[in-house]
Amino acid sequence: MPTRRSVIAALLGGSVGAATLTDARGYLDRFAPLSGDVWGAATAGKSERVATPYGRATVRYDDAGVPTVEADDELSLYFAVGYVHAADRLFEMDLIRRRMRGTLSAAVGERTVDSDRFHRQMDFAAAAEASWRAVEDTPTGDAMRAYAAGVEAQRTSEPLPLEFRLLDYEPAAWTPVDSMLVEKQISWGLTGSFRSLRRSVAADALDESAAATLYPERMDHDVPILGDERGDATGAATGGSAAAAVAPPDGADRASLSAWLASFESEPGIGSNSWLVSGEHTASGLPMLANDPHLNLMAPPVWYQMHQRRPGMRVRGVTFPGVPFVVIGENDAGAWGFTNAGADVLDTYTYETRDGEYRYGDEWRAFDTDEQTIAVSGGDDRAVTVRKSVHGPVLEREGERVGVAWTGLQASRTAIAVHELDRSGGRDEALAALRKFDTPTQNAVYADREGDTAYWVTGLIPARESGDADGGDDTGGDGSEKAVRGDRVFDGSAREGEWPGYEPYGEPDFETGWIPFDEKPGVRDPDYVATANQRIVDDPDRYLGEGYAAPFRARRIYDLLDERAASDDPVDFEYMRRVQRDVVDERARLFVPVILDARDALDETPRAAADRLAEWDFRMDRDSRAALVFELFVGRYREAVFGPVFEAAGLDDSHYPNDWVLLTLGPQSRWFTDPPAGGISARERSEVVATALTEAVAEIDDEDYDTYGDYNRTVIDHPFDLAFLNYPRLPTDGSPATVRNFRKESGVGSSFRLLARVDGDPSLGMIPGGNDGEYFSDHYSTLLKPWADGEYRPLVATSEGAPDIRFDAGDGDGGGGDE
Amino acid sequence: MSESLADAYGSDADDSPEGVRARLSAAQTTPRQRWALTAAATALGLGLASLHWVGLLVGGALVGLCQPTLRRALVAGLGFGVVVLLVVAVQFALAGSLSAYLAMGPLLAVSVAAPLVAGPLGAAARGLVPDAPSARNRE
Repeated sequence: MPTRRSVIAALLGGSVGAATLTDARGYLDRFAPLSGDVWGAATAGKSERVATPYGRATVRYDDAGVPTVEADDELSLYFAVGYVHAADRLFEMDLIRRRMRGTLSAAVGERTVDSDRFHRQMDFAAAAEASWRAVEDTPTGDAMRAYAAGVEAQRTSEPLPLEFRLLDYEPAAWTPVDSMLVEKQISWGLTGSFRSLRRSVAADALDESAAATLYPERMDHDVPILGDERGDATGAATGGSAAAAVAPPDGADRASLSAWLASFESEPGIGSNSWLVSGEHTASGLPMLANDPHLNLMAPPVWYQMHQRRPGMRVRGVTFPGVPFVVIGENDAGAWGFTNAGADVLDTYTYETRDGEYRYGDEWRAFDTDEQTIAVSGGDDRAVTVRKSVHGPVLEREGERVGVAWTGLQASRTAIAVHELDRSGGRDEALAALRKFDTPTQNAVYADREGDTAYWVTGLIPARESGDADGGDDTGGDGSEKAVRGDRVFDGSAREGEWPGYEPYGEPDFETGWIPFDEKPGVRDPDYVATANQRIVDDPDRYLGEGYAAPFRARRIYDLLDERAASDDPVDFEYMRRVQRDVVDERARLFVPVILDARDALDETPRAAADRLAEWDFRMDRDSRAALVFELFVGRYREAVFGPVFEAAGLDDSHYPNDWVLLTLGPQSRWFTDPPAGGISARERSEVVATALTEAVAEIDDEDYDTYGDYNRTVIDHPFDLAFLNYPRLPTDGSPATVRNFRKESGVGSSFRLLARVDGDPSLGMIPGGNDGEYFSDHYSTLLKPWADGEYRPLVATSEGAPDIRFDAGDGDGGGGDE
Repeated sequence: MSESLADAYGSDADDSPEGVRARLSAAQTTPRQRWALTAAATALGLGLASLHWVGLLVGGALVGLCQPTLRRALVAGLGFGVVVLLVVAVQFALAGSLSAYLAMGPLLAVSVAAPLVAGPLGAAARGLVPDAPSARNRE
């Protein structure tokens, strides 16, 4: 019989062995109380004095963690900005550059291998290096070097955030190229659209007529950004007509590739609102401006709010962590904002190939090929072939292959543009800066304190040509024989759809081969102008794009502005706020009558729900039962109309059209009378509506929802799969189609709300969540509830009190990790 | 050597194994000495646990060895684990991050479980040597 001593010895030996020789050791190393690595992030203090190789600077945080950085000069300022970005968002910054470089898996493991494969194949890193080469010898380059030095000062001297400790790795040095990668990510998120490929796949799987319905060349509405009655639109807004779309080549089976690529595109609904009201219509006689970009809602937020001050410049608004400049906001001269323009700046190409070569016109060229290895934490390394053609990256999936041209693969001067915008002294300087805003294509709105305003489309938009002997198809709309539209998959071997000025991974001639700035849609001093990603102009001289958003938000904003302009009451700041908080859903105004027409086909319970819709004001308020019914109905109806057909055709839901297309399908549409896929019988629209409403009511019952707020709750999560890092779930108002925008299903919504005035009173802003990305911070999620409740905070700098951080001249190296 | 031990054994301590064991047993069974030793062992254990998680085991073993029996050692080891958690709570409270710590779910569970398991486990080392004679008699 074993003795007590031997039993205890075995117990101790076994336990210590298990703790040191198994995965338990890693957990104990990180989470053991007192010594665990992760707790250092919770209990470490922050330095109050920092040595800087530049001049003096101070940082004062307000009660929401929004810093005011004041400095003696420009480089001192950006060093301190880099420092506070790193102090509050270092992990987010590292995650972005890892994603864009395709090195995520080395930190997080197997689940991001596909992402790494895509990002390696796109070679965003080389594109970022090209941007840096175009900027490094300018004052903006100096600013970015100072910024990188500030990031490095923080990274190398302060405790690392929790996430690095959880993943057990240390971030590499920050460089200006990394800042350019952040810009590439934003540009990709806003303009990296494979819509033409998706349309081509839908045409192959269904038929051309069905694809034309799903991806209309033009949505039938009358609220473009610039209409004839809205100011003196210049440039491409002044006439011309788009030719009909050309049928895409058929026979190709690229559904798998298209579905795969969809996972690297923006979430549905990425877009924004902005509007500008001139002094003619305001109580103060000075212009007002509103902007709320609808981007991914995440913890921590996509934006970092701050104030930057130095002699000669005071700018406030939001920056992207990783980039030193205020992108949306205001300075002492004026205010500005951006929304996505929806321009077509990505094309795809097919090739005739043989033995690793592709035909390009009359020659056969070898693909530029590089074999790379994706390191995977806790898994086997993966090999990836990075292949490029004359157009840029060549992407492949299950034997399907396309070449990709995208304006963002070239050098971009956007960093210079935003840097100059921050320093601009009025409209003319702002427009001069916007000429260099190469990517992404945006609707820019600007208002200054002199009362001058402007709307302009920014960004490089290719003037496509066909370089082969067959010439172009004259669909670009400019009358040139060679001009072509970009809404198709091109035959790259036939040199279709060429971009004359394009230099992938290099510096293009910014003045040649692109639609000139002065010919892009724009207007000075409009009465008022509203952008909500809708069609820019009805009949552009040049092909701009066709991937515009459904016009629901645009309709509502213009209706509200038109109504006020026609009244005796001027627009005041309160009215601007009322418009930005508006929750009337134009989808409901359009479709509730159709639901009511189907009332006779309903059973008792869904009929009661329909009756509730009859009395509804179409407001997507959290305490509305009708809003709950309608939102769930739309999801069910979308699925009922498209689901069976797409499934039969082998297409996934990434090929679904927008809600405008869905809700404007009439009862005689072939999607009901003759569905474009085998095995799907004809259906009455009213029956589909009745079924969808019945299912929606059943879902409400199953989920025990009472009001819209029970369903419409914030879902703003951290990239890690750890619940405590996610923001709390809070009820909120708005829908995917309302001005006050919130898309529960895709996790997209108003990522920053700006209400700017130039009359001397403070402008207002709000971000969803918290400015500090450090989980243990008091400011991790404190702004979530005010955001969910539609509240704002004044954009007022903190200039009194002892600084939280002082930067004094020290013996730092001043280098910014220049690559 | 503490005054009380010198009083008990005189200035010429017996350094043989039997002598050490006898002095330890005396300390384990004398409440005042046991408390003093346990406090010192706790402090030492906290210091070691701040350097490496093995300190949780060693701390448990040290407080356990101050006790006259295995059973009391296991209770003392658990007490050591509780003290570790109290120190952690104070540390987080002073840093203003206690509520965030308490919301950390699985990470909180690991950090709470570790000292509550490691303390008694280390204290089990007390069972490698016999219980103190007087304590054995009492039990």
